[in-house]
Amino acid sequence: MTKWLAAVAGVITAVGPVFCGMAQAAEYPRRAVEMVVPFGAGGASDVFARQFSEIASKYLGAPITVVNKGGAGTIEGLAYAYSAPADGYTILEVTPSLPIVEAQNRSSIKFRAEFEPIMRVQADVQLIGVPKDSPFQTIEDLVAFGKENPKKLKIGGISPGGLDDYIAHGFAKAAGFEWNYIPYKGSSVMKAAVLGGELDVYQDKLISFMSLVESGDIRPLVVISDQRIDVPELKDAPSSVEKGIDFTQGSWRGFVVKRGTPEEIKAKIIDAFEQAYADPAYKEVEKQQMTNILPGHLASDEFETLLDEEFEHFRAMFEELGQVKK
Amino acid sequence: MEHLFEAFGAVFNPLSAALVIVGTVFGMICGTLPGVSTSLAIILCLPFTYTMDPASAVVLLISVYVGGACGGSIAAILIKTPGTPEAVATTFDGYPMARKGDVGKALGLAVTASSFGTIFSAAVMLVAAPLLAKIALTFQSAEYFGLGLLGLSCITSISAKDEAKAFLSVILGLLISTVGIDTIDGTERFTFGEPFLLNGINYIPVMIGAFAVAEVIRNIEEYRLRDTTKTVGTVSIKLMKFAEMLRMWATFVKASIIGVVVGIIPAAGGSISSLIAYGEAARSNKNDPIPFGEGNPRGIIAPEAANNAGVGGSLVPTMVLGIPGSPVTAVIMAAFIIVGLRPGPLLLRDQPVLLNTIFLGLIFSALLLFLGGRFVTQQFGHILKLPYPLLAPLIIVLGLVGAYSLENSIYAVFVMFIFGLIGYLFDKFQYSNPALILGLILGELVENSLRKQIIIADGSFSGFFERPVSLVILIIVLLIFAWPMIARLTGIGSPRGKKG
Repeated sequence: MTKWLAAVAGVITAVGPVFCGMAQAAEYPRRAVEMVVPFGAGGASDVFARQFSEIASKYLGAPITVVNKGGAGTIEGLAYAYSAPADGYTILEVTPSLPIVEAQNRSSIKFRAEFEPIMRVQADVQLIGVPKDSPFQTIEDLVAFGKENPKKLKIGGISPGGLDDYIAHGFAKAAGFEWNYIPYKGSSVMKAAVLGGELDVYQDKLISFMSLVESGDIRPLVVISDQRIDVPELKDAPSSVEKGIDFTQGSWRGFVVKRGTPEEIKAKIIDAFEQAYADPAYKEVEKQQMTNILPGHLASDEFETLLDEEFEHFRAMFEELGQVKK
Repeated sequence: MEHLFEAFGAVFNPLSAALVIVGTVFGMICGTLPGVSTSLAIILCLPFTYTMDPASAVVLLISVYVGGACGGSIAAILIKTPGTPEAVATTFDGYPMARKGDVGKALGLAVTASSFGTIFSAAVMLVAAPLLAKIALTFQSAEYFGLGLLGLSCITSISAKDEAKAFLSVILGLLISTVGIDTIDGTERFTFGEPFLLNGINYIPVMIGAFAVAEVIRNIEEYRLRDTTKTVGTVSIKLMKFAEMLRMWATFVKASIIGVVVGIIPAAGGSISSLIAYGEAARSNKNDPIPFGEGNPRGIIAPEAANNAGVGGSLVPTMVLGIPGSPVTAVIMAAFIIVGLRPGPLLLRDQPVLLNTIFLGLIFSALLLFLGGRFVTQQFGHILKLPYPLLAPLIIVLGLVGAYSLENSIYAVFVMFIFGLIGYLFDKFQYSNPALILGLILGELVENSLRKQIIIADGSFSGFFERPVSLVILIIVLLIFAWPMIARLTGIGSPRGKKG
């Protein structure tokens, strides 16, 4: 008798979660969904997450609250999202910084193994330019000088071992030279360093780059992409690929949830996010932030492939730079 | 001039006026709460601006900024917890003055100085924004290094009874500032494999611990020895008389200039300018009847005028260059972009009215500080009516929320408690908590800019002396560091009657 009871109990415990899971999925979302932003408040990624989640909450049918967990160079946000249950109530915003952290072995939580993609929403493009009084008129001038004077040219970027570091080194490597990468605390200090003459070369994402081009302070030399940018001020700037420099890395922004999130719930999130992406209000946001230049949208499976590909690139480059933690 | 009239219409219509009032008071309340920084207050306002016209949005956000920069002083004075990082230096004299019973006077000084600083910076901004933006660009790594040292030189003014111990405290602060991922080559330093140490030890929980928590511990210790039946009545703010202001005009003006200049420089914020202003006020008024650190009115005026003068100052590079002058203006800049303004060199040309609108908004908001200050301090003053056994947990809870909400991280709370204990021991054995915080706040700026300049100059130190601005700053720093010694040797600055 007791054996029989135990068996029933066993079956219930085994099957119970499945039913519960289904019930959960049918009722999802019953409460507010948390959007973890692994960056501080006010930056481009934060503003994007806030604007996107506001639009997406309409389609999800529940409010999405943004939580900033900017500590430890995205690791705190990663750990926070990892410690939440895989029930779809915690969504993590991701940028290349997260696969980079994984590639450098900086966190015990393996990003790609623990999270699965929802979608990539936007892609940003990086440009390289020089101050207006610089002797370099074209990208060829710059590369030629770089080849003759290795490590003489100074280029800035945000934080050591981050995406800017990768782009600077990756671009130079593809073009066959080397420069001196100097990390800054933030984009504003780096801009001041360029305008004040401390740096020879300026790299930034399109929206920040544009304001200095419009004012005539920066001469755009190259768009790190396989296509030119269709903006009057930049129409003469060649793309890296057309100049034979095979390097196109830029920033991007997307969302993931913890692995093991029930498929039905995942489908609901994807559905809501796809609708938000198609919403004219979001298109307006993209226009303002100039993130509509490159097609950024990737469905979850394409996004997964991209993450794996980029991871390999990051791993190879940072290993070469000696920035992979043993 | 016509732009000014147009701006007048933009600021003084009923909606905008209401926004300025709401913004200023909201900013003050947020500034008072240790957990809600001015940046956070502005982020909380962001969603409301999405649908506003640009002028209203800008007016709302800058009035929150002004209110927040002033509000930080309220908690600093009442409970020795700087509500915002900019108000660290305000605790040095604000809290002692309040303890002596002059709460209303201390708050009045803070509000008056904040208001003066804001108006001063607004005027400077209106007249000289493009010129000032050029100054901002002369500040590169070499100059940042000098500026950081200038901040550290305040130690000669704030150091307490024991100079050697104050020196050791500042060194300890500098050492703690090296914890975390190194900002130049990404090496992990003193992290002991703990992920929460990767970002370093933030000075805000340290500050809350070393000031507020340590003070609570000390009060608990003395509790049995003290008469605690006596509580403070209604706190009402005592504003400064005009004659009084006139007598201290030099302190007001000097602090405001320091605030504007440091505010313009992108990598330095209000906390640095208020420390430098405090140091300068203390150095040039050594012979005041009330020593600095024991409730000298200038010790409140200087940091408060400086941190509010930073408001107008940091808006200058934001608007003219598209380079935010402080973390708060970085958020404001994001808001500008959302409402369709693109900060940058073209902004002033395309939107000539905007600068005037901001100018009037700042002035209006600065005047409202008097009104808002009266209201907010009255409300917060009520907490002083609580008997200490009830007030102590309240302070701890406020501090706890403040530490936690910084990065929504529980580790910051641990840091706060640990430094509460350290701060208590520091007080007991006459080490200097302000010096510790000074080292911690400035350590990264000094180290980072020193190393960056050396990398840029290919390993040479010459850049520090070849760049004129850097050289001037370094000479000033040297003089300030040597001043106590020079004064002792030559007899300058020894008591010799009263001097304004």
